[in-house]
Amino acid sequence: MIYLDQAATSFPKPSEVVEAVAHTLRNIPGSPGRSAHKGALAASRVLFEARERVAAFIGAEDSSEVIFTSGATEALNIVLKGFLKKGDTVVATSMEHNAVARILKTLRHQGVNVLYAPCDQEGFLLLEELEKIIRTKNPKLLCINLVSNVTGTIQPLAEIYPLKGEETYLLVDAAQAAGHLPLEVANSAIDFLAFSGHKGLFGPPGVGVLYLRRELASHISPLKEGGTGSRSESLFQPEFLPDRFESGTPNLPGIAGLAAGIDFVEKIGLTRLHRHETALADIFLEKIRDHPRIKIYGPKDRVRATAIVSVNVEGLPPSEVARRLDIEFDIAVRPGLHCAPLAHQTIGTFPQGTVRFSFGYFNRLNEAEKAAEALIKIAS
Amino acid sequence: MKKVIFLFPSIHYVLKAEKCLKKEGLKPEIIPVPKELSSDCGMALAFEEEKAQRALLTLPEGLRPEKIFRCTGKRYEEILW
Repeated sequence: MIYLDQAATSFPKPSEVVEAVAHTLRNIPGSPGRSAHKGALAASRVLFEARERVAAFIGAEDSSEVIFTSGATEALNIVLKGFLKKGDTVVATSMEHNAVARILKTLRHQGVNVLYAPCDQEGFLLLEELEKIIRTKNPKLLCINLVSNVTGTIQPLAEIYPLKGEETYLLVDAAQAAGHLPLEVANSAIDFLAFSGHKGLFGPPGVGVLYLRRELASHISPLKEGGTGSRSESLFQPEFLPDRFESGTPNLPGIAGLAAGIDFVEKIGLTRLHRHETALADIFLEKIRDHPRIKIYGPKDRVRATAIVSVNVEGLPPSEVARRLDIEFDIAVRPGLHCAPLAHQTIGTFPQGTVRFSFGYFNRLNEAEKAAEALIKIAS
Repeated sequence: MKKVIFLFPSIHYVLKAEKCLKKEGLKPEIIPVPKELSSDCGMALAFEEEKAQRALLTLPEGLRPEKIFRCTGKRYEEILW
């Protein structure tokens, strides 16, 4: 199979990741922070080292600011539901994924003022509009979808920082950015960063990360409460990090896999990974660009996009194109709305959606070429 | 021999402090928190008495122990630092 659904979850996983997961399952008895036997201590060390690994990768000042979650979705839930209270204002982009948009819908019903900053048809924020919204509405939180899962559009974070006033906190949804673009929280305006482990970072599913600036922890009500292995005599959730936001037995195999995935990413190098993926996307695009019945969405200047390409074939629903790619050509892609109806409204493809091709480091040149040829055949 | 025991909020801080101290050539022992000191089931760092002060002066703010005890045989005495 030619797997071009890398934006959903990366495949295959590096053998180092598989080994790390298997190693914890085979050799690490016990639950981190629970009990004091050698196995529990070994488990605690795996968790601690993974946390240090993630912190170093994103440039967090202290690893206690790294919270392990079940994925980017949980990380976003923690911040949005825990930080925003009735009467607060939040501004998000019109390219948001449902992992943000659905939460904001619920919060709107609870009295949070939700505003969407418009983006152009390529998915880029209209910075003047954003500036105006921030200036007039003085939001408590600005939520930025750093890379669109529909078009690969990369928002210009560095240009957004200066627009944000002192009183506005910044949440970055980096689900499609981690492992593709450098993420640096130190000396940045980022207050909260959410990402998944199983996409660009090559970890297994079921693990993600929330980075949050320590000063803000006490302003966020935890989404989950429960056992932490610490302060067990108290019925109150601990205030300190990371325990405040991590209750229940952690997904240690997943977390160890994520750390191994980050090692892999750093071994290859982000620049090389990104160059490989985007070169494949460019070759694919070059081949299909001139076809009269294929419409391409997203940034025209592909330097401002990751290796995600959304297209449509005139006269064919996306699901039909994807079905034929799968059955006739053994090519895996993702059709439809990609859990991002707002993004599709923005780029003008709602409600039918698009066919999304997403390339990864393990894809090869002939796969990109075959995918282009297959799409042309379907379109012709 | 007298020992000094550092208690931290959770295992994360125990391991973070251990890492920090190892870098400075101090090798603390990781021990289960003695039941006389806390009902918690966690771990603590233990030092020979003469090394404890160096350890305390090495740990950065944010990694300082919550409580410190001097342990003589079965007797524990809290040290205020």
